[in-house]
Amino acid sequence: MPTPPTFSVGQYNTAAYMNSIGLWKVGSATAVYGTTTQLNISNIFTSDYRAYKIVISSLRYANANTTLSLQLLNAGTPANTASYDFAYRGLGSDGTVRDTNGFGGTSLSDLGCFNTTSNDYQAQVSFEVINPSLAVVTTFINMAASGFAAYPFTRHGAARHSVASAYDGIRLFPSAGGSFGAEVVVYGYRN
Amino acid sequence: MSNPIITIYDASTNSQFNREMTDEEHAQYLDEIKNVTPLAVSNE
Repeated sequence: MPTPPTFSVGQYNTAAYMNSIGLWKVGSATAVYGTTTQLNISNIFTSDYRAYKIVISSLRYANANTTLSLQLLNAGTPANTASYDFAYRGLGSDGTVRDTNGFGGTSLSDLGCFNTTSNDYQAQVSFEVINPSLAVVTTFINMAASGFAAYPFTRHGAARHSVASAYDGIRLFPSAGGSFGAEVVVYGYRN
Repeated sequence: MSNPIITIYDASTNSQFNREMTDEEHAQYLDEIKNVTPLAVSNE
């Protein structure tokens, strides 16, 4: 096992140290239910890190039958050409198959689970974004959970944005429109 | 009539604020959610 760095009294921590021992929180944002229709999270992908873990909790949508959609951002401008592909396996606790997939979308849909119109704090999604700040294809590994159902279910899988461009952020919005609530925390790792 | 609200977080300043979408952004947004295929399953 690699030896972790030693911190002496008065020494401040840096991203370089954190890269050798764990995740570094690079930002957190909140979508306010009843107000926020889109959430732009900018300047989170930088040359400091190659990979990012994004945790979204307390998901709540104004409209039923809704998932969370994502677009990559560069200086506030969304990547919205037909270039998002995804394949997710899904399973309900009653055994119902919840698989979903898409190819060539203008956004990455089905990122989070759906129908969480109630403020029950039981839905969340955790995903990793690999190489978004480099001019290469961006890949995603996703795990979503919804507890707001007669039969709670999960989805997990992978996705990509097939355009080899660099981005500094993400845009989140509900697939069916309307406002949404969410607490988003972004971590960087592996320089 | 007012346009929907975008919440913008900037990690470089660790700050967040709300603003109305511009008409162009609103048109783009409406076009985007129109393209989403409705889900085939419910949560019941």
